[in-house]
Amino acid sequence: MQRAGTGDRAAFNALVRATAPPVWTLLRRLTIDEPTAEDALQETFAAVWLSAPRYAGEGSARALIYGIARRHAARTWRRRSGEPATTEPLPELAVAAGWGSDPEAIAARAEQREHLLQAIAALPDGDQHLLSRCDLEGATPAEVAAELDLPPGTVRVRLHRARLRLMGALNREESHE
Amino acid sequence: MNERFEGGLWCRDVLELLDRYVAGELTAAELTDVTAHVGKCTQCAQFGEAYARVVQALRPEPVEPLDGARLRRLQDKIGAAT
Repeated sequence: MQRAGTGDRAAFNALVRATAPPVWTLLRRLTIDEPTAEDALQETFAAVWLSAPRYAGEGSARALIYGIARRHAARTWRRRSGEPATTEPLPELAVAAGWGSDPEAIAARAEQREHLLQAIAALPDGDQHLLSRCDLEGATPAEVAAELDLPPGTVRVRLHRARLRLMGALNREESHE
Repeated sequence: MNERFEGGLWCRDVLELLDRYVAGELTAAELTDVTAHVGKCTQCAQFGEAYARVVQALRPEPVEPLDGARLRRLQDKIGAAT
């Protein structure tokens, strides 16, 4: 990466060949579909090229590239989905999620991995991203907040609502069967 | 939504606190109020239990180790593709 920082195109091409596959894998996990991931992949390596002259060998180049990729995945997600609504009335979300009806059946459905992942896939991009990063991957709200450039409290509120929308999706699937 | 007022909280107040309740992050005073509410409100108690089970179901699955042969096959594949 240091050689790429001096304008060495061949070194940069070698860096791309070495790191693009894992970065692509990461981006496919963090984005909703392949076109979105490809946008983020191109933006990531454009940013790596621009930031290479400032890289002085401190820390792992791969970790640096991963960090850039995560930020670009978050930006691409925001552009495509807009800022998710956070002001939906909570009681309405909760009723759709089974409050006052049969929440036990929804929980039982969530415990079947296939149904859980199917319901997540039916949610808006922003909800999918938060549920994937915070719950399925185990990142803390503070880590995800840093990636999205948001306050941690905002991430927590959005994650809570994403979980309620997930329960709503599970509820709808349950009632369709 | 047919809300109840129990333990000094409306159902919507309990819903706001639910994620922190499940994460064990409520203050002692908040926990006292929520516990009093769900002790008398069956709907919030049942919903809270279901929410906790969904959060549990969302926990990360353990990562399986990648054996040497599989790792070599992966490296060959990437080498061929790039």
